[in-house]
Amino acid sequence: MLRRAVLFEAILMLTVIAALMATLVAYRGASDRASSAQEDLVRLYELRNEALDLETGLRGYYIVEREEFLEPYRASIAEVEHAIAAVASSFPGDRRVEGVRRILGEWRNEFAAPILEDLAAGRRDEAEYAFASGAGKRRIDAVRDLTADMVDEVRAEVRDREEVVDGLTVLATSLAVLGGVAFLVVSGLLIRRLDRAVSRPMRSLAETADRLGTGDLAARSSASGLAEVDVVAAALDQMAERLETTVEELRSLDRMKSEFVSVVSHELRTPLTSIRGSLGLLQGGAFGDLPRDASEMLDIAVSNTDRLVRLINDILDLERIEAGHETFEPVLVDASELLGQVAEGLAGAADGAGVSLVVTAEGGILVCDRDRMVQAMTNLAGNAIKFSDPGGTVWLEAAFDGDDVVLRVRDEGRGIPADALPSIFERFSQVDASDARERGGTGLGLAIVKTIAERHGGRVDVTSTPGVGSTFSIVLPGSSGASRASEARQHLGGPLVLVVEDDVDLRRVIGAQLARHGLRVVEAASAAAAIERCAADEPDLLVLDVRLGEEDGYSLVNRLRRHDRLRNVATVIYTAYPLSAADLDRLRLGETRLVRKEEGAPDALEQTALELLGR
Amino acid sequence: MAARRILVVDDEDDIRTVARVALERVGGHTVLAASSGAEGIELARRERPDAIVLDMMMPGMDGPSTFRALADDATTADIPVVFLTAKAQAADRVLLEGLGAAGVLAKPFDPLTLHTELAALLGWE
Repeated sequence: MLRRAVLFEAILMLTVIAALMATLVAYRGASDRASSAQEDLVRLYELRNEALDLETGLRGYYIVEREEFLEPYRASIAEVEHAIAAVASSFPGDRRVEGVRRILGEWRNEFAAPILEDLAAGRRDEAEYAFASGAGKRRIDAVRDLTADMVDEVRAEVRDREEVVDGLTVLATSLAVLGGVAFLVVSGLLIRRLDRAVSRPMRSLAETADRLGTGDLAARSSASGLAEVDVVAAALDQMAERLETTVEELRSLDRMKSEFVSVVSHELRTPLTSIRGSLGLLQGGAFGDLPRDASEMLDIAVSNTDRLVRLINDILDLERIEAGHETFEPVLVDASELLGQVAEGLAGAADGAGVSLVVTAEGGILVCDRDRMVQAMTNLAGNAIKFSDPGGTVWLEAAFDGDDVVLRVRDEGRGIPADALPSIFERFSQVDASDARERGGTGLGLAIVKTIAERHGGRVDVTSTPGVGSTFSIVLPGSSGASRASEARQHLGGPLVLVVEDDVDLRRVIGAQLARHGLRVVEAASAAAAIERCAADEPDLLVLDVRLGEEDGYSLVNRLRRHDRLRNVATVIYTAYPLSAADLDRLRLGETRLVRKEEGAPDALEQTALELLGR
Repeated sequence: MAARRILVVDDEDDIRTVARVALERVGGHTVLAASSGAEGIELARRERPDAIVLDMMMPGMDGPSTFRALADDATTADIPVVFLTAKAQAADRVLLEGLGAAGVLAKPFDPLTLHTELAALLGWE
């Protein structure tokens, strides 16, 4: 089909071209003829003029009878000869040319010559008579008529040819236009056919490939009409099948691995419990004191058992974090608080090693899984302490670099050689493993830190100079932006007070009172509403009624205690009921005061609220 | 610390032994031991201990089912139960506490501090 169409197009084009060329040739021919016709006309006119000049030349001489006036006459005689010859060559074999020649010959011989003779002999009257007879004029007129006749003929011929040329032009133009249109139409149809036959299957194939590319491994191609496309489609489908199978296999392998690790660690932990337990009891003197060598043996046994336990814990941890089985709970965490917690946890180890811990954190909030980040920083700081000499310092830092948060641990310890740096975050890497032997590490600590960082979408970094110290960093991208924005928002327009009270009138009254002091007030009629409000905007002060309806104040406080910052929010408990110290304790978040609902209470509430807000 | 009566339920003999020494010798408490969930329930009913340390993974009745049985029985429902488990992650803890346990102890435990950890979980002075 394709071939037929192309053939048709070729023929069409050839036809059009041929027609155009024919037209061109005809045009050339016509144009040539036109110029030769032009030439013919010129010659005819020249002949006529020369003939006229003959008559006037002779007449002139007759009138003046001076020698010099014979010159033009004589010149004309010669010119006429040329003119006749020229016309003869333009109109070969034309009888009229012969006619002209004859007539002019007669004029010369029978008219002009005798007149000249008469004039030379002084017979002027004879000459005059000859002129008056008009014999000369008659003959010249005849010549003129003949030439005029021929001129008309030439002109008519030219006109005919022009008509032909015009017709040819029209024909050529029509052919060209029609040919062009036909060409476009056929091409259009051809393209449409091609599109359907080729492009569409190709497009659908491309679509399938695209879907596979984005991970939809179930995508398969549909049949097309084109054999070549089908071949590719079949290959693609086969590949997709294999991919799907492989992915399934990998997934189930991964599942099996996780289960294996889980089961194995459990199986390992059980006997370890007994070992650790019995050794611990012996070592702790539960069965009396032991001789020193025996005691030393026991110390070795206990410390290595501990090491085994830590190793199993780390392996399991690493496995779980990497496989993503751990639920990561990103929350808003205050950087200095986080580092403070880490420092607290390591205070004992730091003291024991004679190392001081310094926490410097730019005030700021980051988003992270609190427990995991504490674990990671503890690993890093713990390492730093281990590798520092007594009297040294370990710095825990948090810095905000644009949108990124960088948590750093710096030490002045013995440092890490440059060749060990690239692989230091891998499991059981050189430096870590030797540390394991010497100082009871597991060789997995840094691997865990790296995994935790990466689970947060961040990365780890290390710089070190042997003999000077090392700096380990966890870089968390984009953490601070959102939190900073919300922090900023909060501090615009005064502190925010959340009033949680189910009595609508009372709620309004309290709200209005507090608003008078330029405080922003939001209200909640139930514990659930209060939680919602807190999620939207963290309050600076909580005014809480205890009796709330379905969920009471105690439950609300319990929930708020799980929140990073709200667990320290200042609170005013505003209730009609007596509360014991224990009850108040259960309602404590940050600084908490109690105001009883009774006479004069609204003012007392106002006062307390302002006090707590530091106004 | 006042001496208490503690029931330890674990299918592993050695762990029971170590726990007993840890709580009796070091902690000064009295320990009753059961090697299965069923035995544990029976002992609990009969002896009404002050606390139960319950292993999670046991053949037959496992930790959670034993716990449910104890909770369903009026005579044993009030006795605080602490789970002993090899998986002591935060999520697991929350889950177990959600069941109603008084606390979770990790395996392996330090026998010298077992009694203090238990006391802390149960609020004993």
